[in-house]
Amino acid sequence: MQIDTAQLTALAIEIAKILAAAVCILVFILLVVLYVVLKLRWVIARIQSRLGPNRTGPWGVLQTVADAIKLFQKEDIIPRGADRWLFTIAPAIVFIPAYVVYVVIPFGKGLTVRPLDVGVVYVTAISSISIIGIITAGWASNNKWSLLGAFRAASQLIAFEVPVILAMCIPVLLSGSLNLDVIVQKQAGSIRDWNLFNAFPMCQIACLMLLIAGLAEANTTPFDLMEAESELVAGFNTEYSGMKFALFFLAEFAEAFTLSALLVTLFLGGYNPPVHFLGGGLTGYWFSLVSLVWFLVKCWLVVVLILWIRSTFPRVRIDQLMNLSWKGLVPVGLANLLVTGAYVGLWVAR
Amino acid sequence: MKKGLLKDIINAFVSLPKGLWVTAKNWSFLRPSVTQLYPEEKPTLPERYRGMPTLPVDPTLGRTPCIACGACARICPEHIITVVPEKVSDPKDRRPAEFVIDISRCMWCGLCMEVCPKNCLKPARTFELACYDRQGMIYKLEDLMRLGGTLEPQPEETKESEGAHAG
Amino acid sequence: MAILGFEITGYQIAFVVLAGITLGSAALVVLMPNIMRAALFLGLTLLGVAGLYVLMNAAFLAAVQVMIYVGAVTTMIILAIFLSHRLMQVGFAQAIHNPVFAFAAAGVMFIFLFITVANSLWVRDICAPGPANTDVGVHAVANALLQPYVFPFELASVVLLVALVGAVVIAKEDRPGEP
Repeated sequence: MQIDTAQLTALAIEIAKILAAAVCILVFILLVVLYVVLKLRWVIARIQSRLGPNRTGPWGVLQTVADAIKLFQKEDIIPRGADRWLFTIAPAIVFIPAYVVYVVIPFGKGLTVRPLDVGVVYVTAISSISIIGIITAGWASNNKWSLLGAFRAASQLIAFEVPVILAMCIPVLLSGSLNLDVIVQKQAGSIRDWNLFNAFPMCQIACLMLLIAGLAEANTTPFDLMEAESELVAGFNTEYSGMKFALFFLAEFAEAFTLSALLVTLFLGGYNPPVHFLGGGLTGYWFSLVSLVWFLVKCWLVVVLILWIRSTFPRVRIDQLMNLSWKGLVPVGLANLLVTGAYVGLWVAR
Repeated sequence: MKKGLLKDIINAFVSLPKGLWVTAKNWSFLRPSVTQLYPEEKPTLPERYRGMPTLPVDPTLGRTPCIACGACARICPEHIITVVPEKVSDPKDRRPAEFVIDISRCMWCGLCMEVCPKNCLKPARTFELACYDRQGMIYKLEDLMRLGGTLEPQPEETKESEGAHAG
Repeated sequence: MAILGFEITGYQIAFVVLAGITLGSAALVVLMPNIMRAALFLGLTLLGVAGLYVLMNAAFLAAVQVMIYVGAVTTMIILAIFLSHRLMQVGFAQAIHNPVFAFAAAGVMFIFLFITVANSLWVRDICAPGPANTDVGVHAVANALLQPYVFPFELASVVLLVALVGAVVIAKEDRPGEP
C-alpha cells in the first residue's frame, strides 16, 4: 500500500490554509473587540461630557489592551455548589459559535473563508447555538441572578431570532440566493444598487428590523435584559471571572460586530464601493484590498451607530421586550415577507 | 387593533430620533468635556475649603500663635491631637513644644478649628495627602506650620463674637 | 491510508467520528442522572446528526437542523426543565422507571424505522460508496418541497399551525371579565 505523497501534500496545504484562516479570524476578532470596547468607552464618555480613556498609551488607545491583560491575570473562581463541568464549558459554547460565524462573512472580494451556499441560514443556525451556552452558564453557576439572567436569555433570544430571520429573508428573496457572496455581488455598482435604496419600503423595514432584533440578539444596552446590572447584578455571567468571563465578553462584542457585518453585507452593498470611481474599476488583488477597506469602513459606521444607540436609550422592560418581538416585529416581518415575495414573484421575475 | 397603537408607533419614530439627537449634540463639539485632567490640571479649591487642620505661621511672631491650651486635643472625638506645652516662665508666652496630629484617623469634623481660642488652627488648602507609609500620616508641629502657610490677620471682633457664641 | 488492512478514506473517518459523537451522546442523554446535562447531551446528539447531514452534502438540511433542533428545541427543553419547580432541589434526577419496557419499546421503534429506511428509494443513494454526488443544494430542496412534495409539506405546516393554536389556547389564562 503506497501512500500518495502528492495527495498528502495537498491535504497538508489544505489543513495549513484552514489553520491560517482560523488564526486570522481569531486575531481579527480580538483586534475588533479591543477597538470596539475602546470606541464604546470613548463614545459614552463624550456623550456624557467626559473624556474617556486618555492615559494608557497615546490618546488612551492601549486602555483595552491593559484591561485585557488585567483580566487574564484574574483568579479563576468556580463557586462552591456550581456544576463545575458545565460551568467550565459554558463560555466555550458561547464563544465558539460567535467565532465560527465569521467563516461565511465576505470581508472583501475573494476574502471569504468559505462562501457557503447556505450562508444566511448558516449564520442564524450557528448563532442560535450560543443561547444554550448562556443558559448553561446561568444554570451551572447555582446563583439566582444567573438563573434569572439565563431565563431571560432563553426567552429573549428565541423571541428575537424569528424577526432576525424574517428580516434576512428580504435581501435573500431579492437576490435569489442564500450565499452572502452572491448577495454582495448583486449589489455591485454604485450606492443606488444597494439593497437599502431599493424595493421601497420592504428593504428599509427589513433593515430597521434587523437592526432592532440584532441589537436584542447581540445583547446590547436597550435590550440587555439578561445581564441587566441594576436588576440582576450581572445576569448569567455573575459568577464568572478571569479568562472565562473574558470569553463571554469577547463573544458579546464579536456578535455586535457580526451584526454590523451582516447589516453591511445584506443591505449596505457589502464590500462594494459606494461610487464606481472609488475602486470599482480595479481588478484582482487591488480590488480585494480596496473592497476590504470599504467593508471595514462601512462596518465601522454601523458599529458607531450601534454604540450611539447603546449610549442613548434606557433599557426596556421584559414585557415591553416580549411585546416588541411577538406583537410588533414578527407580524410586520411576516407581512413584509409576503409583500416582498409577491413583489419578487410578480414584478422582478417578469 | 388596540386603540392608540398607531399613535405609539408614530411616537416611536418621532421620539427615538429625538433622543439620538440629544446625545449627538453632546457628542459633538457643542458640549466640551468637563473632565479636569487632574495631575496636570489642578482643581481650583473653593475659598472656604475645609482641608486638614494645620497651624499657620503668624508673620509677626514667626511661629504659630497657639498657646498649647489643649482644647483641640480634648474636643477631638478621635483623640488624634497630642499637644505638649513648652515649659516657660512667662504665662503669656505659652507655646506648644510638640503638636502632633495623626491624620489617618481624622474624620474632618472641624471641631478642633472651631474650639481653638486663638483661632490658630486653620484648614489646609491642600488635599494631596497620599503617602507610602502610615508614619507619613502623622504630622508634627513643623509639618503643620509648613502646610498651613502664613496666618492672615483677622479682625478681633470675629473671635469675640465666636467666643460669645460658645458661651 | 490503510489501517489493519482496511482501506480507510477521510470521509469514513469523519463518518465514524460523527456517528460516534451522535450515538455516544445519545446514550448519555438516557444514562445521565443529571437532567440538565442530559438535555445538553441531546443538543450534542442533534449537532452530530447535523454533521452527518453535512457529510451527505446536504448543507441546507444541516443548517436547518442546527437552527431548529439545536437552537430552538433544545433551548425549549431546557426552559421546560427550568420551569419545573423541583429544579433546585437536591437529588433532582431523572429516573428510568421500567427499563425492560423502555428497552422493548425502543427496540420495536428501531426495527420499524430500520425496515422503513431499508425499503425507501433514496437509501441506495446513501449507500453508494463515497460522498453523495447528487445536488442537494438549496434550489433542489426548494423545488422538491414546492413541486412533488407540496402536499406533505403543506400538511406539515397545517399540523404546526394547529399545534401553535392549541398551545395558545392551553396557555391562555381565564380572566374574569374577558371574553
